[in-house]
Amino acid sequence: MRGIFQDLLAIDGVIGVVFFTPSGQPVFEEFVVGGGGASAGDWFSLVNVLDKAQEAELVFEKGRLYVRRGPEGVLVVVMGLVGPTGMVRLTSDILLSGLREPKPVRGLKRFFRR
Amino acid sequence: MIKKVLLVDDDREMLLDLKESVSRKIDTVTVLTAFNGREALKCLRSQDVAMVITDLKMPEMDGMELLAAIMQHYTDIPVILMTGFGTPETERLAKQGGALEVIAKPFSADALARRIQLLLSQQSEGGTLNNVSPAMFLQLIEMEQRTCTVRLEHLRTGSKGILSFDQGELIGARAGDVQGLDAAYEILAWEPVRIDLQNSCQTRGNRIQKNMCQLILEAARRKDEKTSAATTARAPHDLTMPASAPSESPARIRSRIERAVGATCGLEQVAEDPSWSERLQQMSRQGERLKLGKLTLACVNWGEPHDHIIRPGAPPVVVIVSPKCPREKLMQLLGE
Repeated sequence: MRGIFQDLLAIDGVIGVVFFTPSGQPVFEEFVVGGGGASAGDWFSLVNVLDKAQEAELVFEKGRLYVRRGPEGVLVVVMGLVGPTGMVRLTSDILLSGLREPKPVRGLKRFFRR
Repeated sequence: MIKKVLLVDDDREMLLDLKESVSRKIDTVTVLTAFNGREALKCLRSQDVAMVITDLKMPEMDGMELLAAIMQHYTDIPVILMTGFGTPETERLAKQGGALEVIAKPFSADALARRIQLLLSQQSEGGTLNNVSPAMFLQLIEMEQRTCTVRLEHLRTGSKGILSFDQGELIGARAGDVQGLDAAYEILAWEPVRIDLQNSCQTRGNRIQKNMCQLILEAARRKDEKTSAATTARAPHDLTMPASAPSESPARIRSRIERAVGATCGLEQVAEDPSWSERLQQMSRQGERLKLGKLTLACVNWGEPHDHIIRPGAPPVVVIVSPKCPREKLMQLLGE
């Protein structure tokens, strides 16, 4: 799972990445600096305030968050105060489309790794 | 952790002897006493009792009635019945009623003390965790579909609570005299806690009917509400209010944007919108919980062709822009 979000974590200014299933089960949580200090439930509570928003950028006094909701789940990227949001948006686009479940393959093809 | 054991018997002499023997033999328990069922219930309401040992025949409220009341309100508390008139039928009825064991009188205080020690040690047979946040741990229990009893102690207040799981499903909760959903919400908001895990569950029937994720979210919401109410009561100004720039009229904001990014920048509307106040306050509160500080600016897209950029204030100002608008530049401008 870490490999999937590596590109986001590698962006300068990104402090952490949290990913939930659409129902709120935490799937991935990693912070480059510190431990975040908050539980996955705390992050999801914040996302929940946004209701059904597809995308949001929240600027706080000490940092900013980029939130993206898709059929695969909810992605929260925690950034410093000067966050590279453009780059984070672009990388999130690529990552989330990569997480989409591939269409089921019939026949013998399903036994071969794609 | 010191646990409280409640001894109930109308024979005062025997009761005091038993209390002394058990206290002497087990230094991790405090022995409480009651002379009948009614007194015992009063004690259960005011104390966190880990186990009840009661005589069967007593005036006012006998052992069977007390057992029935415990099984109704404190299903997680193990009960041992003592009787001098034990028959197989009495034992069958007592166990059917929820008693863990029936001990025939006379018995040695040593044997009772050993039994109490063994049963209390079973309450943490699955292990003990100190200084943890309950949410993640309880979600693990749900995911692993475990049947267990989780005893929690709020390390800040010393309050104790019990959660009962049947195959990963939370079926019972109790915090003092509060039971069911309300108790679950209260316990889930505790942090940090000490957790004792017992690999079995005495509770029968589901009194909760909600999954753990829903419970955790609602518990967090209730905790926020409580904190917010307390803060409001303490200070005339709500400290969780989002940080806002000095008030600036929508017309002034519009002209500032148009000056900076041009009149055809995709700006659709600038207006005050009080309907955002509550949501912004919630976000700001969550931001403070997450150590990010107060909210200063938000940009939200609901899957429509335009974005909403919201600047907190009283009332908040909402700027609606089309996708061709340089969003980041605008955010920077509005954040200044």
